[in-house]
Amino acid sequence: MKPETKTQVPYITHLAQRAGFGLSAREFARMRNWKPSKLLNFLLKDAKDFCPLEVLQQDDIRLLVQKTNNKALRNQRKKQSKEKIKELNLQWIQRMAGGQGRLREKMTLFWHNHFACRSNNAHLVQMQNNTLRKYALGNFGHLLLAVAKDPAMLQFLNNRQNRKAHPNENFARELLELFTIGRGHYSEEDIKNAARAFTGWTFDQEGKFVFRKRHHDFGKKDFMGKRGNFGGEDILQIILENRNTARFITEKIYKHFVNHVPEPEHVQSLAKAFYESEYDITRLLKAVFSADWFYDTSNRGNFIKSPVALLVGLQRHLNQTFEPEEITLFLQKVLGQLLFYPPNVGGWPEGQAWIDSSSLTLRLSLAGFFLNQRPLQVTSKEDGDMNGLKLKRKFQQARLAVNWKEITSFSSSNTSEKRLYQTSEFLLGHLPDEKTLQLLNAYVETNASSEEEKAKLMFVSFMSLPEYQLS
Amino acid sequence: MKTYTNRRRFLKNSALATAGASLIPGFLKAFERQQLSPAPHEREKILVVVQLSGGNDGLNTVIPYRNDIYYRSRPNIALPKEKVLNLNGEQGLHPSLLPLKRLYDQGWLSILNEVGYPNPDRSHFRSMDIWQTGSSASEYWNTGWLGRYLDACCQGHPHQAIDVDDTLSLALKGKQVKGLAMHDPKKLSRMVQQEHIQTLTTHYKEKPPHDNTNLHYLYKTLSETVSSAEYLQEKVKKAKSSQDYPQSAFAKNLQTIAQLINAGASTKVYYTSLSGFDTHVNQDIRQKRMLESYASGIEAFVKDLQQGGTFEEVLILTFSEFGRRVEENASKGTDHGTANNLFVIGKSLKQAGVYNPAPNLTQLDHGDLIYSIDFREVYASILEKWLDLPGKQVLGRAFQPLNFL
Repeated sequence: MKPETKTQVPYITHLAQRAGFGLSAREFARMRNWKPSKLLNFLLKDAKDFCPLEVLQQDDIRLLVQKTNNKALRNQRKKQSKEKIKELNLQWIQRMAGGQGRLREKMTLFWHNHFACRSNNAHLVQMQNNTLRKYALGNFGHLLLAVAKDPAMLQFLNNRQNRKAHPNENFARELLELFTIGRGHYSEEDIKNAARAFTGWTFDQEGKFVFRKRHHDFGKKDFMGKRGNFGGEDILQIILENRNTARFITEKIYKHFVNHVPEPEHVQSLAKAFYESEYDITRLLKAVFSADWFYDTSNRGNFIKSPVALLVGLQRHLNQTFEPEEITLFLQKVLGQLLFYPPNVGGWPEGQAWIDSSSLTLRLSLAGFFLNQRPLQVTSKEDGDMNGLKLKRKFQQARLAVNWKEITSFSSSNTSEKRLYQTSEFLLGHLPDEKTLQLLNAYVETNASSEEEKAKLMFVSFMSLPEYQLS
Repeated sequence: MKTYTNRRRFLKNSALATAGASLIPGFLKAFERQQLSPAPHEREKILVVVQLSGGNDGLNTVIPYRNDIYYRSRPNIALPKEKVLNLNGEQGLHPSLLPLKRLYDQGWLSILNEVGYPNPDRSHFRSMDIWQTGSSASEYWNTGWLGRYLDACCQGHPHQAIDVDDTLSLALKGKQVKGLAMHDPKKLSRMVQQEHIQTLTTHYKEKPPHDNTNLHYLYKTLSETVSSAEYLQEKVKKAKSSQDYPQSAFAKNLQTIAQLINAGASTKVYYTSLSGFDTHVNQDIRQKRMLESYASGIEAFVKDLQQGGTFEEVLILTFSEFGRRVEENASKGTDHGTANNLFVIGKSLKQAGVYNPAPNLTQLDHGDLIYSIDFREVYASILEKWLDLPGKQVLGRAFQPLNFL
């Protein structure tokens, strides 16, 4: 493996960013000289356990799902449900920022964007997220079946209205176009027939999957060259038997974890192995993260961090939770990625789509806001929905009690030049160009006197660079 | 076309950029403009889009006050005939829209009924997405219709399309070019005058990253933001407005837009929104207040443009993501509906007044209006007849332009 021969540090930060949300200072001190293969094994082992989000307890759920004709009560529940969705969001962010099981968290986020879905019912939101996290690193076929039976998805893509007498094609269409095989590999007739196979797939008051026989179309269906009395499971099986599905998922994973521009040869061989492993997600990821080309210069430091990756990464680097907590929600909203509220079933458009004049200016001001008490001059857009998620529209101040000694402890060096390099390796994973480094150093030297001030200012400065927006 | 526009813009900018320009009174500026633009068709063409967020109840905005079905469907919230401001003997405006009625009487307002799209979506976010991107209900697009207009015509600085807000609307996001979000130029300047941003921009200008990476994209965006901020700040420094505006955030946004237009900023598209039209409960008071805010703001804006001699250059489009159910609900409000009316305001309307027949209340789809004008026909009309670009280039397919323009 190529990276093992030279200095490992940039490869370690690269892998930690892509397969997680970056390292904390303490981890950096411990792991920076590891071989990437050692870190990968660590990450895989660390992500083994499935640990569900638990915001709604049995009592909350019982309350939420109770039938009532009382309108005031229903409205009250809607409100409670929205508050719970906020809590789910915060709990998830905490998990990501906490570091444990980071590869599973990262993949859960990936699947949340892949099987993008919205629901106003916190119970369904929690269930769906737990389904995604349970299967995140398992078998894609199992994941797909679980999502097809998931109440939030059945609700979001109108499968409750999909009945023999009036088939609703919404789920079948997105299943083929966005979830599995991709455009160009199926016909409108395939969609119609697949929709018929999913008739009667719905859920009960408590959010449990139910197959309603009387709404199901038991007739013969023609689907992708096959004919039979197919049910939903059969359709999924036929889709999985099609190599284009393995290719579609592999390419998406490649674009998300390696490079926005896929290298056809790499994707092809990964997809072949993925198909032959019967869709083993962990094996696919292992193959990606241990490939030589994963560590090529062209594949490093060229991803624009998603708002969630940026916010989680900041908290990891500073070893702090943002306060007040709701500011995390506010920032997700103004930066364009509020968890559990993807723009549509296609998920969030990524890469350069995150960036425009205002979002970039805001991103570059975050470190100053959190660490220098500079005001954040931004309000969030109103979406006009009376029942929409209520978020504070404006934040003036945030406080972070950063333990500077702790988060700069990886740098034991006495020379300021060396410290500069080490901080850069920690925060950026590499060194920016010479001129930028010089500017930054001069700025720190003239504007800070004590060692602690310097360390702090150096952090703020690196975090305010456009380079910090990349991973 | 392009070279011509550029030459004209150069002339205009250099004339207005002279040191004395700020001292020239508005009417003389208007005269100066006329000198530069001898014939009306050579004037600037600017589009201002006003988004009413939440789904404005069109039936209580432009009221079919001769229609019994309307009164039967809304026993509690229908506007009584005698209060309605009559337009054409069949429909009339909500009494709060008196300022708009004055524009109508001047022949500067065109009202389009039953605007919508096939398979309407009743979710706020989804329907707004459809209106902002210009997609059909079954497609998911990541770029806005005005963003794609920028892609097609205006490579260069982001201030060619401005969203008067802190975050950028999807409508103004193109594939290559994105508009600029800002509440006012002063605030934007303060934002980019942070020391590190200035330093980085200078650094970028001296030595831009040479490759085509995302890093380059970030530095380029940053640098363009800084120049746009400087440009806009410079423009409004010279702007003086004697026009009084109502006290509201919406009116303030319009005032910012008027300042920039009157100062001759090279912005082609402005976008602003007014939120709060989601009237499920006690619609009466709420909608009254919202419409008042809308109409009084718009009237002040139009007056301001007239004083600046720029009203001829501006077309104002007002829309909402959907209208509301014909029948009122049990809380003296209305629930999400479908097709809706839409306003176009300007001096060069070909067909002012009520453009097409009032909504058909006898033929409904699950209690909702059925559209007769696709909103993309409205977009195509504006693109082709106002912004001089084939609609197909932006909308992906050809839509028949309408004759209000």
